[in-house]
Amino acid sequence: MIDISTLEQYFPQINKPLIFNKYTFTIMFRQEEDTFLINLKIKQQDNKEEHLIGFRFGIGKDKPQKNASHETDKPHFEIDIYKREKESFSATVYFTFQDSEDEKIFECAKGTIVLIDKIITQFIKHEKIDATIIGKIIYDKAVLDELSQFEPTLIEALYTCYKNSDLIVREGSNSVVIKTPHNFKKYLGIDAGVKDLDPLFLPLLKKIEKKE
Amino acid sequence: MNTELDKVKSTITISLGLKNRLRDAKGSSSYEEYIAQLLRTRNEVNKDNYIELQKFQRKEKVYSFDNLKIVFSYNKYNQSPNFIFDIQIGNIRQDGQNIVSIGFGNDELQSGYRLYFELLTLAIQSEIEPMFKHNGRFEDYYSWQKEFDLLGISKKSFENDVMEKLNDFKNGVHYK
Repeated sequence: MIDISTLEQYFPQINKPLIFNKYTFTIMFRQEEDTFLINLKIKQQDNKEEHLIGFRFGIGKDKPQKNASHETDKPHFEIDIYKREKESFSATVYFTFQDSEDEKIFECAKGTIVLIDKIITQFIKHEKIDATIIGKIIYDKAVLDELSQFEPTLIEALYTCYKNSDLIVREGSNSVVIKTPHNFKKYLGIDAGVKDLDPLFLPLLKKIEKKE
Repeated sequence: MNTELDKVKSTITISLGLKNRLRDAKGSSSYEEYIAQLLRTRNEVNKDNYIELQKFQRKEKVYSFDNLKIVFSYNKYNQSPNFIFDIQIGNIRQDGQNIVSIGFGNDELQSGYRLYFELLTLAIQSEIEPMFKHNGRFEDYYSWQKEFDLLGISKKSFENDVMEKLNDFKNGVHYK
């Protein structure tokens, strides 16, 4: 079981929502004896207008749960998306890591922090929020200098999940195993209209299409 | 015949069953030789465990205050009577940037020691506190004391803990 405590050093504060304009950013860290979690959650304040964004993603391991669509007690990467535009869309995506050696999972946890950094940076740019707030959420330079090398490890591990049919999407009460680029794009890519997670989806899609 | 074991018996209660098992286990050795051999073995095992602990079983934590992050490591707790926490600072980050490490024992001795004890407290909180299952009710005194005994923590610490809890009760603090 990995200990994620030292990765806290890349964030000014954890487990406390930071509100900027109409968005709330939360870096979640949880470490227990047999579970862990590193998540980024971005939520737009609901002003009852048509457009609303909310997503959460990260790496973790839970206690065993009955009737879950994935193996909760195995390390996994999880994405929770909610989008309300003309039509609303919500889905939860699980990549379950079958190769759960501590060293590999810890490297994936470091890769997750790189993705958190890239996704925050892109989000702030797209939403035209003051860029100086990045430093209040994550130590961007330290992450890129010290952890960038672990991003390809995470992308490779996520690709292995896709290849081995350990990539599951739960939409409402339906669970779908994603096995084709078509389904990948439908739920996770351009077709789903979720641009905020491009730093994660684009390199993964590229890898999937290259290997197909 | 008055043996070393009989001298021990005068201060520690040893059952007849244990005495018989000792007699069978010692074979042709004397009680004194056999007990000395057991003590040597125990000390060697503890010594090895202690070295292993210092070398391998370390955990890392981050201590945050103001705009500083202290990344430090400590050895995992074990019930060896020789156990001491060994705190080592990995690096210090200020506003995300690594800065020169603070040495304990330099001109800033006082702040260095203060920081050392903050880190030690965090290590103790992480390692020792989860091992106590008591809920702080005074009726649990004996099971609570047993936990201290099992962990090899001194009676003095136990008494301090009890007094602290009693003060809390006196001041109207109740534990769930």
